Amino acid sequence: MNSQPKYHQNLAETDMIFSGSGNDDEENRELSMEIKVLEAIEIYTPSKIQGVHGHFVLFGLIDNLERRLRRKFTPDEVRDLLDRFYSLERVKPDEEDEEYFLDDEEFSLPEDFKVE
Amino acid sequence: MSERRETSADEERGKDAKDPTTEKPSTSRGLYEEGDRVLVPEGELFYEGKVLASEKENGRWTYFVHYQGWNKKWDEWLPASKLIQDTPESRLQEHSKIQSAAESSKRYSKHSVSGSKSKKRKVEDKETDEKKERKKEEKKRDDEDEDEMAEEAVLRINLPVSLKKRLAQDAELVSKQEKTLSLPRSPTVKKLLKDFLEASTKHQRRDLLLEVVSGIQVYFDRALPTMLLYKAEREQCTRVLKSHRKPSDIYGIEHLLRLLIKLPEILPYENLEEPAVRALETKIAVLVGYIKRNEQALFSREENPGKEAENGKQD
Repeated sequence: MNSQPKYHQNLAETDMIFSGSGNDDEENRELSMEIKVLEAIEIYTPSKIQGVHGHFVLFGLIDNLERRLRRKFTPDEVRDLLDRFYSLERVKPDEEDEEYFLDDEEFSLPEDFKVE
Repeated sequence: MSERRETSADEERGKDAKDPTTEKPSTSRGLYEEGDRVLVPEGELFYEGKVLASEKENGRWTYFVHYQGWNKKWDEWLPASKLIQDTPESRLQEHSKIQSAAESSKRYSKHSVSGSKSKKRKVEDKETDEKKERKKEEKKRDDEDEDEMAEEAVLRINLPVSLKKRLAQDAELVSKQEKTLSLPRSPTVKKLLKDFLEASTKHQRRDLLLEVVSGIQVYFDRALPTMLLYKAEREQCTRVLKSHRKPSDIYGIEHLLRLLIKLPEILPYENLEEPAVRALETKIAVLVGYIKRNEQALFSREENPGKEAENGKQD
């Protein structure tokens, strides 16, 4: 009997850790947010976020999450969220992004710019 | 696009047409060989392809297919089961479903962007842009509907008339009279964008503005040497970039505006949903508004009278 309470106490502590603040709602929110992030990553892939288009793809991801979760996200927040699933700094940029601007082509103005 | 496709298809068919069913089974040849025209069913549609290579792996043939009219980066290895011989007969049968690159741009807006199938759509966008440019020349705005559909998902950049005039002037001076700008410009693109962010502290989503501005600067540094120069500026560019500085440390407003014009062609639409593209437009409009308000200061311009003039030229 003497050793039992200690065991229970430990269990209780673990419970506390897993439920965070002890609030189920918050936990569910957190979970559904992670699911939304994972869904969005299909379009806004980490390898693209690491490439030359990265800022714009992240912009799109933020927009996606804000629309679906109806709250604001800062770019840093979203980078942190991604870090839960990927170590972004170790994700290689998309290969085709590396060659993106290699084709030489002289600049020319669109026709409707040619004001007399 | 479609013209090129038809001519070459005829040439190829004359040379290579054969009935796959009479093909005698052989260990060294697959059902298709190099140069064969094929149709590739995808969903409800067929894409026109050409076999570039074939390979036998574990007793099964796979074929390296190029999609006609699409960038070669979508070329892929496919098993024979995914291919249909492109013959006049099979064409007749599948006529309504054959999807050429030029036609598919019209479909763009009907799709939501996701997953790997969107890859081809990226090329559609580029072609849509080219097409749009040509259309604008040819028939201005009498075919509003079609244009509208294709444009829906593409970024639109609206510049005030005064900025358009500046760009036209710039084109005249640089590409016609071969007067290049004195470099470095003042302010440089880097300074200009930094000033813009500092002037936007009250913007409610400054964090997003920062993301967009950073993206523009990355594009600028990468795109300038290959996309943003008139021929007359090439040599100067090679010289000034030798000093290991980035284009955004040297060039100014003129080239930044050229980038903004090119932006719709550069963006990776397969990784962006339409609401994001619309949101991006509003952020870029904020930048354009800033440029317009500071037009006089940003455009104070000196042309290069001679070739040596950019040495040590600082404002």
